[in-house]
Amino acid sequence: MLKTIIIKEIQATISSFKFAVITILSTTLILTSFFIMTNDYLARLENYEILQPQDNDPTALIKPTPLSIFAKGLDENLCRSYQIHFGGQIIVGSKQQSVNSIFQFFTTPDLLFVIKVIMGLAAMLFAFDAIVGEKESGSLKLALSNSVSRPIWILGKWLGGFISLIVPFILALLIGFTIIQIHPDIVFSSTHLHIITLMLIISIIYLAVFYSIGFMISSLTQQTSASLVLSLFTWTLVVFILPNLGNILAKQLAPLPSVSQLEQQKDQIWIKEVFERIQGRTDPGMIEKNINNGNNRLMENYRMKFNRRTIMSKNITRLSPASAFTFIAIDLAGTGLLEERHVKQAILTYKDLIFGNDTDSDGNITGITPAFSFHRLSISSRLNSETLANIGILIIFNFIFFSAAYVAFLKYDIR
Amino acid sequence: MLHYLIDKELKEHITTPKMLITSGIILLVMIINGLVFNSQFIQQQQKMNQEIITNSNGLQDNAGSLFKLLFFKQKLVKPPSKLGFIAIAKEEVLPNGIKTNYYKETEPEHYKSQNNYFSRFRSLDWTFLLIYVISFVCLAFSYNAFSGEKVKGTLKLILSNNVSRGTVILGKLIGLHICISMPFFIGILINIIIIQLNPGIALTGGDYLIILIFTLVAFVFIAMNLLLGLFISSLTSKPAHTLNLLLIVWIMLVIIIPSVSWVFSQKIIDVASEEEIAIRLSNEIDKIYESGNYSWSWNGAWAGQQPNDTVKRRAAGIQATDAHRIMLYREYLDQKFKQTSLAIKLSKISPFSLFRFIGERFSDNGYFGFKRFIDQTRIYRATMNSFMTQKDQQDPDSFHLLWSEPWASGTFSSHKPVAFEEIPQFKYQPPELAEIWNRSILDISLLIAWCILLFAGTFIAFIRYDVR
Repeated sequence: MLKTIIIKEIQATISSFKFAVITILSTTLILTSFFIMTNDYLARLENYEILQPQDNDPTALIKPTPLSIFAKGLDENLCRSYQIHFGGQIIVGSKQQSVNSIFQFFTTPDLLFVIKVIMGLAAMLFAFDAIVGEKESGSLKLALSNSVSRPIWILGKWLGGFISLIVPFILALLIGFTIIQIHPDIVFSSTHLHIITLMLIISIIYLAVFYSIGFMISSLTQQTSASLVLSLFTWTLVVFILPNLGNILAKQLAPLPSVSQLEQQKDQIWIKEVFERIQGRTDPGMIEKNINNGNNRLMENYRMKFNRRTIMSKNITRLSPASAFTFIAIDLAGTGLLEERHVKQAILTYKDLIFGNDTDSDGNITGITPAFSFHRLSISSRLNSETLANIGILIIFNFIFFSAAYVAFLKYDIR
Repeated sequence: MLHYLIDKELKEHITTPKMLITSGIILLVMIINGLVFNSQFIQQQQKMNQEIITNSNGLQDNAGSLFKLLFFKQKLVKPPSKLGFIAIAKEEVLPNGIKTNYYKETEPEHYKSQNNYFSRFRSLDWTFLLIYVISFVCLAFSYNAFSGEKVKGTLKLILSNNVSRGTVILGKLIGLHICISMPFFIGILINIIIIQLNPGIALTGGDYLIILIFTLVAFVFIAMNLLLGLFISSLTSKPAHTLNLLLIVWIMLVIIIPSVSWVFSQKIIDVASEEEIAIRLSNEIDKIYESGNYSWSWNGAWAGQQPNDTVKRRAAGIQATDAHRIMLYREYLDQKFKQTSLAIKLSKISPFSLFRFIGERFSDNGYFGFKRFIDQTRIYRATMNSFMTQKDQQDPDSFHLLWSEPWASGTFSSHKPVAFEEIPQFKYQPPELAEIWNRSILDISLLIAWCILLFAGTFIAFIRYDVR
């Protein structure tokens, strides 16, 4: 019976107007996103090639990842040049910014954004009239007058509708991915392909959450218009309000010093050391070491505060499936905070490695300097406990919302 | 007859759960916006005040000698906007300061708590509420206006009365508009009350006028959204079709057009990378060195003497290098502005973008605020430099030769003290209402034109609509 209901639902959906709309929409959006993000990635790649450090140049530079086409995250910032100077100072370059920095106030339309915002909405709009719509059209009474139990009916309806939603989405992704692959400068390794597959699976789980929410709302309301408004309200709450609220709360509870305050503190370290040297209280050989230690302490303190805020922000915002999905996607793509921590650690190690080299009058490190080498995190490292916890959260959300839809439907007045 | 139709629409929607939900979400966002703005504005204001005081103290400390003043690097900052609750406009990602002295000027810099992770979040401001929440609410209220009535059979009944189709459209539009504007207006009042409870934010009469005009523009925006819903509804015979079409239109106008605009802008206007600019500057400097018009010699014994030709040529060489550097980086920034401006113009094909940028203009945030700040810093630098040049000219002991090598130029310029009160100080001037109005009038007119166009479209489609 379940199979019959699923097939009936798929047939009904495929011939519907909304299926055509979702197909056109997902294909247009995904192709537009890939077009924009591919251009963006190629520009960053070109800059990376230009900025490659020469021999003995104490600069750390990281190659942009092609996965940033799908989830850009912090990749643009990760791939800046980090030049090591006298006293262990790390000068962050801005020369890699191929894209006009003022453009940052436009939304980055990567695949993550398309799935998180638009496909999430599409999933809800696919489901909002699944039950209440059938009730209004009178077909719910007819369906349940057959020898079909409510659990089987709702499961069949859910599966049929969801399959109809994700099939055009997956097809659009495959078309887009095939087009990207044609470009000779975009090379995906087998690790990348594994990650892309994983991201696809998680995207499906994420869309299932929204589909279940839509289903739940549909089985809680008696009018399609109420179901629609409630769905839109929930979408706004989950996608925009909750993540922002978490960030706002974290900002209030865990303040961070401003860039100029940090600069001032760094200057104070310099002034203090120079002053102590003039007073004859410091050995000339120790100045650089002391400045380095002072900067390390300062940055360590800042990192601690920053981590505190991000952890707080993450913990609050992951109450929204949209945030949990974002964290998974950017961490898997290697463009998230996980990779950022890894990059920072690698740069600090590099700095310690070349610390003590001679410097010229401008503070530039001279002499033989080893080249910076960096490998992005492996899949297993990306799939750490936090990422798994976020995946778990999405699965739990699915379970909760579907169960709620199921329970509500058991008590649903079908008349 | 019109007021009966309005009355009917109001009664039909005002008691529904969707009205309750709509009011709830609007009020929630407005309360959050007010509370968050209050705390963030004060924090930012305190930080900026600190920067301004430090800068002023620096000026005072260096006013003892014009020579020191010439080299004192001032930190000019843009304070947070009092009307930022209208549109924060991702203000966190844009620089808000610049360092400058007589000889040099940095590129725009960030003097605020900013990190790349947190700047990814959106702010829950009025513009966000209107574009992402209220626009949807409008569509949810209007999508079944005609097709829904047709399905229920009530459309036939309405039109069997002595009522024109134009009046029906108008009645629906006004009725729905009141339903949505009411909670929005209450939300605005609550938001302003919360903001006004904070003694650190003093809104002036001019600010209230700006808020009032923006509120009126927001009402036009709400009307535009409702008309969009009515238009699509009058083109379809089933509410489900209307909804799906509206979804496509909304995504096109809110997401695709603004996102694609900056890509096209990048293709049309080319902006060099910083690396290329650095190379260009280096080439320019090489040209200056090789031109033979300047001298690079220096002898310590020349200090304090009447400047000889070699010193003058050296000073001129350094002055030319500095002038080139500033000019090149200004051109670079102007090119970025040009590119962004084109992206904004292209994105204004969408009425949602039109409204977004009206909001940014009114709040003096985003691109417009940033560009205005940069323009003002340039004017200030010119004024300050002319002031210092004049002071140097007035000193008979000075050789009036100013260039950016403190170790060499010290004895060729004035060391006389400068009265601190006379020194021009930088103070960012937010735009006056008249200026905002003049610059937004075209966008507002376009938004009204969208409304007229959609109303005309709805009217034509509805005349041909099969009500059976």
